[in-house]
Amino acid sequence: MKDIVRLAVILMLICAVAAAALAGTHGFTTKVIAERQAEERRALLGEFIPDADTFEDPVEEDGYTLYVGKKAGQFAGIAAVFTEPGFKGGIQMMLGVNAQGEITALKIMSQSETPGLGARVAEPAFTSQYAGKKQTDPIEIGTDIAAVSGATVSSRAVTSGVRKAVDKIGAKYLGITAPVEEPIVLAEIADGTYRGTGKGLMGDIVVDVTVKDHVITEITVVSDQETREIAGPAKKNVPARIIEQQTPDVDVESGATFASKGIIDAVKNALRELKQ
Amino acid sequence: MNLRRVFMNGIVTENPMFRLLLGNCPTLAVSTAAVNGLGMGAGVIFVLLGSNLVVSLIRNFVPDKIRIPSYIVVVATFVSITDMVMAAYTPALYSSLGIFIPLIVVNCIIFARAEAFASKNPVLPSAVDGLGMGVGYLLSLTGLAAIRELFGAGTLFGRHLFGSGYSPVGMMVTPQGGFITLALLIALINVLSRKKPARAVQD
Repeated sequence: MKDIVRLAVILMLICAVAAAALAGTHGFTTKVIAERQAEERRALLGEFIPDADTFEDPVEEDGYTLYVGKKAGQFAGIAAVFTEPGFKGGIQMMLGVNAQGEITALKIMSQSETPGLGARVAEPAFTSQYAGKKQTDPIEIGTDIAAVSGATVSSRAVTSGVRKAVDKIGAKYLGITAPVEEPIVLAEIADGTYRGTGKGLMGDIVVDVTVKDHVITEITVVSDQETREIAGPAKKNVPARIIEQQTPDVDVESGATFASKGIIDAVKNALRELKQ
Repeated sequence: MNLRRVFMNGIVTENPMFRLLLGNCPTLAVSTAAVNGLGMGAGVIFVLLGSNLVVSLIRNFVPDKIRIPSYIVVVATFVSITDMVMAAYTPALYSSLGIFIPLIVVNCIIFARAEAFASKNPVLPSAVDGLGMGVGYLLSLTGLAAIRELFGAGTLFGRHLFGSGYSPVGMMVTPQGGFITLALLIALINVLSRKKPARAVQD
């Protein structure tokens, strides 16, 4: 018993000395470490919010990490880190937007796309296209952004991530709201067959939509450039789902997301255009 | 006790990496770039020197029954100090060594020296032993890392040596490349030192 007490006291003494040494080191390193981190953040964020002189602590929201930059207390811009599903896995990127709503910079922070193809979305040749774009610009592959050739899916993933982030930032910090998609009201649509076009993975998809007594009765894919083996189920099931649910807002066919979205957009466009 | 001999013991005769085969786990993990070898080696030298010194100082005060926990506390304290100081003053190195700095605690070299040498010897030889072992580890780790970096990335201490035409051998910087390089180096050293016993007899 006496021995146990002796051993415990000795061990406690050793620990006490160790704790004191650690507390001392901690005391003088914490400040330096905190300064380093702040400096690193400043160096990183400076690229995205060049106008700012101070940066607030990051805010987490809906998968976005948002850093607000200020200059003399005034909002000077914002940087957002977010992830968008790419061809193989998540593409993490960082986007800067200044107080005027213009994109200052886009950087791919991490990605696991195919080397030599999709991975090239991380190159400045691709990412620099976004600089200067505003919320009101289309920010769309084929319109104002050129895709990396051979890597359409990865390019689109980055673009749609940027698009969503810009809308989000615009709504939250710049008071701009994205235009709300006009709902399609079948009750207002007269009988007839309407033609619409949507963008698939490989090109345009054209559909004919037949409406009778305010009910979608038939959808035919008139032409498309999709890969038959892949898009086949989408061409069959997506129109069936739309007819069944009487709305173009249906689930996409797994494995053929782009073809499905193309068909859905084509149907929406067909039903929208006739109103004009 | 010949201090010079104690010092050289750690570098040549009982080199921790090639002779004692201690601490191989962090060795393989961080030896992808020569600069990592230097940084990790410096950390290990500091911890080894400090722990050998303190363990030797308290060797008569600590009862045998609690020597293991006591040594662990001593080693862990030095490692934590290294960790904090590196985080504060060498952030780039700190982020590239990552988890392997706190893991110096379980690097068997340090514990082996505390148990096998420092707990049985006076302060000065213990400190020299720690220094020798640490320098031996630094040199062999940096050497291994330099070979892997040279072939795996075509650079040495971050400087390009082979020009842009060189396509790096990716395997060299993966763990299996580390195993192969380490094994080849150990084999080489075994071959080179095969004559040594004969010479020892002549002495």
